[in-house]
Amino acid sequence: MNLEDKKVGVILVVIVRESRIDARIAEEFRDKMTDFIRGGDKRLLLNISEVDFVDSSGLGALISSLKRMKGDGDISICGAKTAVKSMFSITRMDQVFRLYEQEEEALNILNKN
Amino acid sequence: MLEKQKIKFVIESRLENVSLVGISIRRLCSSILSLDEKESSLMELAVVEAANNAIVHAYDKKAGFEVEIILSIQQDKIIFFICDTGKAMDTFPPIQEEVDLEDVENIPESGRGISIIFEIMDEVVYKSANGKNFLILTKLIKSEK
Repeated sequence: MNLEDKKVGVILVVIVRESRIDARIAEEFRDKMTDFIRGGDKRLLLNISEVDFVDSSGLGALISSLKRMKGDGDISICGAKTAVKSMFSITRMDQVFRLYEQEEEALNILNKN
Repeated sequence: MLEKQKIKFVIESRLENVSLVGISIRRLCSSILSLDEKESSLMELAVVEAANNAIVHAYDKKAGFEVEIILSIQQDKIIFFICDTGKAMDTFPPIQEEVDLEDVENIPESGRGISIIFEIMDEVVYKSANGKNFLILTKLIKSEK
């Protein structure tokens, strides 16, 4: 799967260049996120503005990634489309992951904290 | 039951094929049924979760089998039939109990699919007959005047 990353301040921004995070690529997604976390990046902002759809496997990969932080870091999300927000809402995962509308807004807040 | 329209998709039991059906379902719900973006996406999600379950659990992720997804549009409801000829479920897996979301370590990473389906749909029924399994999902919609 296609992920791009860039460091902005203390935040590693991971841009998902895929239209779907689903059962087909969830494992690969989890592995790539694990690589970032093992590389020492503990504050991640996942930009999913190009993602039209996330299923429970994709969500599971996100949760797995968060667990790898072992309480010493966080994963925030920006750019979630309506469909993806619905998924986070019905699973209550919008109470686990902070959702921001835009990357810039998220970085302004996250880099201050 | 007055069926207005019906469409059937048949995919090989590969996870990469599920998106073809998901995207089609979303478009059909949006353009034919005039469901809004959120509602259409939830229909896609429910069907994708059901199709994934058929591939992963009924067929143990083995390719070469068929999953049928049938959309039946009726006057006041949509019915999805997700059918396979693999291992039947004895019973629905237990709906996940609410977890303490502050206890990240204990948030489940899997097993959400059926809970999501129940959350979205108005009726969920599972039947097996003559070697074929049917997961039947019903969503009530506003009737046309």
